[in-house]
Amino acid sequence: MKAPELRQIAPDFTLRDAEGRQVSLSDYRGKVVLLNFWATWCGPCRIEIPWFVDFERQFKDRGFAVLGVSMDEEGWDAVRPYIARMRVNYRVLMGDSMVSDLYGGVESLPTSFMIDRDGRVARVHIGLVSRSEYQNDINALLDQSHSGNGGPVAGRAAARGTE
Amino acid sequence: MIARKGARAEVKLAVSLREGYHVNSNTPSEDYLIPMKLTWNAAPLEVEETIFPAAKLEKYDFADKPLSVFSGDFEILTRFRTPASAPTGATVLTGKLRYQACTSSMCLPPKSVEVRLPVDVR
Repeated sequence: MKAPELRQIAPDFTLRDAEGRQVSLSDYRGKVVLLNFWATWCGPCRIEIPWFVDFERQFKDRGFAVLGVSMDEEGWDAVRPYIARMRVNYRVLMGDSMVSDLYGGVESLPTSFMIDRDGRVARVHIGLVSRSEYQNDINALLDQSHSGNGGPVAGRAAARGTE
Repeated sequence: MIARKGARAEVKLAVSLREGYHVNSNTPSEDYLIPMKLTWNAAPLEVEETIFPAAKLEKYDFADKPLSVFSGDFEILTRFRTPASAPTGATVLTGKLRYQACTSSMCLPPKSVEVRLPVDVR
């Protein structure tokens, strides 16, 4: 996990959720966010979804949220039935290449950005990692105080590997 | 490829995957997986059949059951039929190979590569 002073601001974006509402990452400022890029055709991504459902339930009251960004080319037709079947309890947005580019051109799925309460990227996980790794990150970030300071804006380097 | 009118002609497309990667076969084991597909704009020829190699059943941590995949180097055979009415001369057929690759822990978005096949119709 990056030291707080070395973290860069997670680029803000606005996407639509399954109900057509516009949602921005900046709406979540003050919360610890697990920003997960995924797709329904991605086997490793599907392993993580039930974990994220549990995390949302377990940590929501402590100021935590999962935000899923689907990269499915078929859009909501592919995603809506899946999130209904999996009883996904966190917000899922439909991604696009602009958001992917903002985060360094997210190619590998899953890719998850652990974002602290100040909206800064504390860690990037590329590919499937263990449930406990996520859990440890979430607990560590929830335990950190909210500085209220922004840092430099994270760019292309953000998605280059697990830090 | 030489395509004689009224006869069959075949071509093998060689595919080579980077070590550690696999693609879903043309008949994936799960509905949600994106199959490998080879499609041709074959005119003035006609596609008679496309034959993929035997898929491997491999077990990955992210799936409960073994998955039907291709990995390493393999070939896809396409058999064309050339109608007697096909115009004589050189032409280029184009095809599209669509695939979706993964490693044991992550996946890449589906991609399509264009295939160009020079054909001499005689």
